[in-house]
Amino acid sequence: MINIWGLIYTVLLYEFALWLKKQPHFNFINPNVTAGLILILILYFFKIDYTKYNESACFLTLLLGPATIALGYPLAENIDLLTKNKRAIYSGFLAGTVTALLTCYFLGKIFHSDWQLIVSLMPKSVTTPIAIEISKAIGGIPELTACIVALTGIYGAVFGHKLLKLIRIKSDISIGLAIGAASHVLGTSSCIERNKPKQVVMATLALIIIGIVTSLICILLF
Amino acid sequence: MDMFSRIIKYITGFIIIFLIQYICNWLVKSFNLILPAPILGLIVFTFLLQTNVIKKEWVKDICKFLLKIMPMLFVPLLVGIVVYYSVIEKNLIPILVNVILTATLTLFITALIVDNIIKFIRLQKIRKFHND
Repeated sequence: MINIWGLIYTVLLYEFALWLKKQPHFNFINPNVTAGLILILILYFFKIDYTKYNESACFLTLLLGPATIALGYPLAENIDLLTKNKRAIYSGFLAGTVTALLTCYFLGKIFHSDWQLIVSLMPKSVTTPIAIEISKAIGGIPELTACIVALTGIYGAVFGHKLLKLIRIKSDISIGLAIGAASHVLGTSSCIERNKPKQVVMATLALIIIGIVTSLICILLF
Repeated sequence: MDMFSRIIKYITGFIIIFLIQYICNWLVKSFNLILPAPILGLIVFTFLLQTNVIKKEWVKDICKFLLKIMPMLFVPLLVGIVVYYSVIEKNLIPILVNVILTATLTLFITALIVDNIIKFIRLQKIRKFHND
């Protein structure tokens, strides 16, 4: 037998979570977080090692590269969005990068966290592969960074749209850019789920450009 | 016949994307770039689509499919958080506060700035129009 039980469980649970989301009282759930939580419980109760699960589900992780590249398709189709709203978009990139880094730094200082922790937290609004490289380069703990990047992504994917609704932001450009800036690819995937191509494009742009700018700033400053 | 041509389209599309990934992997490794291969691939892919080197119809179906399943691809990574729980545990509160506040502030400030600049520019255009 080929070792793909992890893959099958993941796909089935994800489909289940999608189905659950369509039920009246469960529309608040986030499919991938729900599927992830159920899987964690299954692994815990049956005492299955995470590495074993990961090996049998590695096909999914391997597809993340091609899926990220595929984001280029909506980007190429809507590239005129970038030229139309130049000033607003560039200010958004700058605001997103600076806010994320400064808030992280000052909160770290307030909690008297040690330097290594602050540095590991710094690149958390950036997509995982970039964040890990930054963390390594400025003396953080890459594993910790990877974990916190995922937490930030989940937070943005689950609450991003709701929080923005709260402050009455309605334009797709602002929503997409803010979500891409705050919660990278996971946030972008939440825009895909909502079927908003303009938001996906802005989020994709934000995650690329903010990723590059953040890595430059971090490596130059620290 | 239609079914057959669709399958061929999926396969060629996937081969194109896979080739881009492969070449970018090689570029990142041999030049020690800090940019991760998928992000470089995304930029290269957009450029090739934009310049019509890759025809949009070749890759349309596979891209739609990959983007549709993309949220699901994160599930194994999310499960992986459990493994590193011990690393976070020591500083749980500072980390959670930091994650939540930073993400919320970044969301709000970015969205408000972009939203207001768009509105401001629109207003300016309307004023200009009235003055002329």
